[in-house]
Amino acid sequence: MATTKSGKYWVTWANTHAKNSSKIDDLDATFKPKVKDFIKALEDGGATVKVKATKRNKKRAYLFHWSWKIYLGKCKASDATKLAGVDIKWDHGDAEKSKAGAKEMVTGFKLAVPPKSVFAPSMTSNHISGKAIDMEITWKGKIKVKKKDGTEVLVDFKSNVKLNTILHSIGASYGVKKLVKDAPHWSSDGK
Amino acid sequence: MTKFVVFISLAMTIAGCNSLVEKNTQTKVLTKHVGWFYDRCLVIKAPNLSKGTVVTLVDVEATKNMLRSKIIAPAKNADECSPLAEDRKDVNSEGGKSFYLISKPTQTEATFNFGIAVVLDGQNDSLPLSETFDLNNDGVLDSFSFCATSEGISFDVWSATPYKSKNIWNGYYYLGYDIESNCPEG
Repeated sequence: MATTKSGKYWVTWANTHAKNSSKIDDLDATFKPKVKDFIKALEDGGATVKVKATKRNKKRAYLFHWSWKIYLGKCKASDATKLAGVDIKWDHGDAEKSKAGAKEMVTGFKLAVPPKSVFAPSMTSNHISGKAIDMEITWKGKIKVKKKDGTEVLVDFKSNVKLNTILHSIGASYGVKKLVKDAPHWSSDGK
Repeated sequence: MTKFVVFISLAMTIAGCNSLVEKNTQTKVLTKHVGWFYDRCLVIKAPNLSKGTVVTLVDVEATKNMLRSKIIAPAKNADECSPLAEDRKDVNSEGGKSFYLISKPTQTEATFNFGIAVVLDGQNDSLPLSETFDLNNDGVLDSFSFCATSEGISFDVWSATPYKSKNIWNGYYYLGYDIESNCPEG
C-alpha cells in the first residue's frame, strides 16, 4: 500500500474522510437511548438543547495526536504508530522535514500549541467510543424535569452548568453523567 | 459609595458575570472585564470594545508576566482566531462572549501566547498592573492558574494560592477535541 507523507494533504483528507459527528444517532448503541431519553425529558420540561458534538472520529484523533507530538518534538516521527485506513508516512527520512509535515497538519487542524504544553490530543476518549455528548442546555427561570423513575424535579437555570448539581442528578438518573470540568460534556461514566 | 461598590461587586460575582468592579482614585465605579486570550485572539464578555482599548494580559504558562496590549479589531474567522474554528466556536461563544484581535505585547521577546486578560472600562490604562489584577479588591495581587480539562483549557483566578483559596473567575477554551487532562479532581 502506497503511503502519503504527512502534511496539509491529510487535513483535507480528514475533513472529507474522518469527520466528527454531532448526530445523536452516531452514538454508541448502549448510550444513545439514554441520551435521547434525557434530552426528551429536558425538552418536555421546557429546556432548549443544542448538541455540539457526539462521536469523534478515531482516525482524525490519530492524526491530531501524532502531528502534535512530532511537531512539538515530543517524539520522533519514527515513534508514530500505524492505524489501519490511514496510510500516512510520518517519517520523511529527515527530522526537520518530518516536523515540517507535522506542522502543516497542526496548523491546518488549528490544534492548540501552548509553548510548554504537554497536553497532547488524545487517541482514546468517550467521544471516540461514542459514549459522550457535548451539548448546551438552556431555559429561563425554573422548570420541572422528570427523572428516569418519573419523579418531577424543580430545577433552576444556572449560567454555569458546572454548578447545577440538580441538573447533573437528573442526567445521572438516565445514565448520562456530567463531567464537571468541561461545561458542555456529558458521558456514560462522567469522564 | 463603598457599600455600593461592594454590593455591585458581590451581585455581579454571584450572577456569574465576567465583569468585576472597583473604585478608581476618583471613587467612580471601575468595571473590570475578565477574559482569556490565545495567541492574538481575546475572548471576553464585553461587546463593542473599540480599537485601541487597552488590554492587560497575564501569561499563565510561562513567567506570569503582566503586560499591556491593545484591541486591534473584532476577530472574524478561525484563521486569525482559533477559538472561532468550526468545531469549537459555538461553545466558545456561549454566554455572549466576543472575539477580538489584540496586538502582541511589545515589552517582551519571550513567547507569550495564552493566558488571562483584563479590560478596564473607560480606556483606563493608568491603573497599576497590580491593581488591575486584584479582582476581588482585597489589596492583594490575585493568583492565576491553568490546566487541561478533557477537551479544553481552564483558566482560573484565585484570591490566594491556586486551588486552595477562593476561585474568583473561571474561563474555558473549548478545543473541540480530546486532550490528556491534568486538572486536579474536584
